[in-house]
Amino acid sequence: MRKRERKEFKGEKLNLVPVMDAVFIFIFFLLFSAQFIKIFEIDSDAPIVSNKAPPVEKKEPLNLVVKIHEGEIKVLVNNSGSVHRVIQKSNGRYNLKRLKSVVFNLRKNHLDEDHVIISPSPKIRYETIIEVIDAVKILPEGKKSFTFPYKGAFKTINKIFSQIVLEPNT
Amino acid sequence: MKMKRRNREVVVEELDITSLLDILVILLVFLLMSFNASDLTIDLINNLTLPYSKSMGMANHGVVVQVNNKKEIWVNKNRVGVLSSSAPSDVKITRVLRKLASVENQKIDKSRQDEPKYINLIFDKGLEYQDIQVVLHSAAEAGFGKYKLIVQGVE
Repeated sequence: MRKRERKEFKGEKLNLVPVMDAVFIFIFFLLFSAQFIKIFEIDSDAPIVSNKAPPVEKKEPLNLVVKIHEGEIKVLVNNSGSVHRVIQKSNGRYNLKRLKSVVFNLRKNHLDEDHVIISPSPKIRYETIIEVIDAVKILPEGKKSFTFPYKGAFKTINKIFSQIVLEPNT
Repeated sequence: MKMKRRNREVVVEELDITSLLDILVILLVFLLMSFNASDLTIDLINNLTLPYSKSMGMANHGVVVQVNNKKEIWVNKNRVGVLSSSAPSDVKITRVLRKLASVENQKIDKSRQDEPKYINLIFDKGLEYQDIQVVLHSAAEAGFGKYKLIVQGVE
């Protein structure tokens, strides 16, 4: 019987120098472009003043206005500005979950409308305004999209209302 | 006496870079995680704390207005003034922003010059709406009809 020859595997070492060069360059690029505060933006529009008469529509437009007062949030709908809901503060905090569910239900019934007017009182803090904008913009339950039946087909929305208009509370 | 000169062979030992590579990979992953694709770089002024938001919109390059908790207004790294209820500070801001709007106008096509322009607005989270309103009004007067409210992402 022949003895099985033991072959010693002599693996050659990989030349890592070019890889290291590339990694160093990459690290420098990332170090210079690194921003340790993650910044994002919220789109908003200035209110438009127009002398033109609004277009005549068969269905009454939603014209959703969210008024932020110091003790409550009022949700107004239609051109007449009728109050749809009044959401009182609870334990000194605005009930933003309630606000989100109210505006989400309104959006479900008005899929062709995509803008909301945020109207804060003069003494409302900027932080609160951002919280309210988040509540009327970002979908509930952490969902990224919702699909609803719309005019014989389906419509998917990624945000409750995506167009925000900031207007002073008069 | 004759002495034989010994030929000493110089053996270069290879450096063990395994641990160095480990550190580099960790650094690389950390930097990749904190990489922000936004082309807007902001040097936040003193006394300014950004509000948190769940919004994920990417900020873009443009005119930047910052207002800190002492109500100091900075336009593109230049201090413009202080917001106050007595002085007509909005007139000065509008004047500065109009100049910037005309500069922005020169960069774009003539056909798009009438379109509302974007402005990046950075406010301290403690500011009241009455102060913010002055800046918003001045921006709109200067031709910046689209506001980009800069916020800090929630981790």
